[in-house]
Amino acid sequence: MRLKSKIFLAGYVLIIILLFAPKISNASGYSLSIYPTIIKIKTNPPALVKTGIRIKNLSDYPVDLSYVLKPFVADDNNSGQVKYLLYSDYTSRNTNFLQRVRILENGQTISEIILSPKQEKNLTLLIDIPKEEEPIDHYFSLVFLTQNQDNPDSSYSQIVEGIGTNVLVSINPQGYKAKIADFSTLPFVSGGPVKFNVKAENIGENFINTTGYIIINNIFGQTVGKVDLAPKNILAKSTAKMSSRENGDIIWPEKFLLGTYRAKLNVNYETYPTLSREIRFIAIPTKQIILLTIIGILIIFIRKRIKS
Amino acid sequence: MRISSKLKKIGLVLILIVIAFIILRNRTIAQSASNNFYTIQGGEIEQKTLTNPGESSDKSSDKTTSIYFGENYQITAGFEDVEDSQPFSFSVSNTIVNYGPLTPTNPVSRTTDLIISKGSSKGYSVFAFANRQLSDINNNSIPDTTCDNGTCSETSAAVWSGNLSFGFGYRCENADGSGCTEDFSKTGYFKQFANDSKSEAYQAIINGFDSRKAKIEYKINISNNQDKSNYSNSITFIAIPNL
Repeated sequence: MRLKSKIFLAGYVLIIILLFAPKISNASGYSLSIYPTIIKIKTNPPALVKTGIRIKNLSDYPVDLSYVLKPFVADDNNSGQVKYLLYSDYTSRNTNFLQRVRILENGQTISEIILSPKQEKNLTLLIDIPKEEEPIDHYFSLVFLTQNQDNPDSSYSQIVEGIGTNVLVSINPQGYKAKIADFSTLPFVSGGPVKFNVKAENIGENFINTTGYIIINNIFGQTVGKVDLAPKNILAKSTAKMSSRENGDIIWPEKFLLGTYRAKLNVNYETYPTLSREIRFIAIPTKQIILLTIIGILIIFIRKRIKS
Repeated sequence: MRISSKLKKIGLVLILIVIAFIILRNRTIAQSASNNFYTIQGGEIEQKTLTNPGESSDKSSDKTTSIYFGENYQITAGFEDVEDSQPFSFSVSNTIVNYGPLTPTNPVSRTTDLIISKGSSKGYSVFAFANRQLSDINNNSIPDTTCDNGTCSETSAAVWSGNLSFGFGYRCENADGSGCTEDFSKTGYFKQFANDSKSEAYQAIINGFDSRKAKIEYKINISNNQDKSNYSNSITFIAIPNL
């Protein structure tokens, strides 16, 4: 009886497995993470620059990765996005510099990485910069790309996921120059919140990091508001829109405004003296004034009617 | 008496096994499967193993920025004003987009979900490009769509709804707030993928400041003149933090 029940149990389990077990065919998507999100390097060569990068496979499947180095410039919309150079626009400076960049795993140069499910690897970015390297900036993204060998027997697109981090390199930075390219708001407002436009231009040859704030004074000279600006990396010879720490737009949230206001922008970059610019704007609460006028006219009208 | 209690136990075990398998059998690991008669597309499968990068528990240090010095160099890693050190993450929901058998004037649509977690970055862009047009082994290719009025390209979008407009194109749909570029704000607007083999510039399809989810819709419509064949290409999505 024991043996019979065991055989019966085993057979039953086997049938269930054969009937219902899921069929495994291929991996379902990719999921990767990378850290840090930006690497800024300032160097006076000769230097053997080394820094760490963490890459993690967040999926439940192993993944093969290769990497590419993509030189970029600042995008034309000044919002801090990158614009990749076409291969045809690469200069010998780009290619010579990128040849000096290597990725190491446990001290060994690698061109491919295999990540097991949920595995994280600590890699080393190594840049060998000789003494005679030209004193200019280089900007590139280190992009890890998934490798895909699936070839179904039909029409298809293979999907490749790429995730990257940006690397800014200044070689022999000579000095920094920046200016405020734009500081503006509407000259007349009927109420808050008030939105400011701030653009900083890097007119130097090396990338800079800018921070700043806006102080708002009322007609009596009292400080009535302050908006902190988020630090921004601005590439050489480019302009960037500044943003607030809280969200993308620079907004003074005060709602009820009346009179003349003076807004002073202060921008700091690297260790250089603060840049500043002032603007004025007038706030007239038109809605409230119109409402009060209508109420006043109505009162006068009603009074006259009562008297007559 | 003993035997009946054992039988009860065995019965209980069998019931548990059956329940477990009934629940687990819905867990399809395959993303897409097809033969000559059918295609099961991953976009329709509800239970994906796609990981939400936002749920990553990586917190290796308290502060985002680390400044350190080596011989003749200084490195700043991370952003100065961001307080946590979450990694930047990116997920795509499938490794293959299987279009199945293509028939003339019968458009085929497929989708891929993209999930971006900004981590300690200050916004990001997702770029997309194809390595070539959809091509077969004889180098016949399905052209990139020019949409209904012949004006869409890899840089500009236009409406594509007619079954007599042929080609291959895509659109980006916000599944979670905003993020897809303005080109796709109107329903039914499509673009071509930038073609790497023609040295076309990679196009940003998503510019985001917060963690977002977007859906990429691929569309193919072939004409009667298109050779019956299997066409393929490779589409790359690159997510990169802003500066």
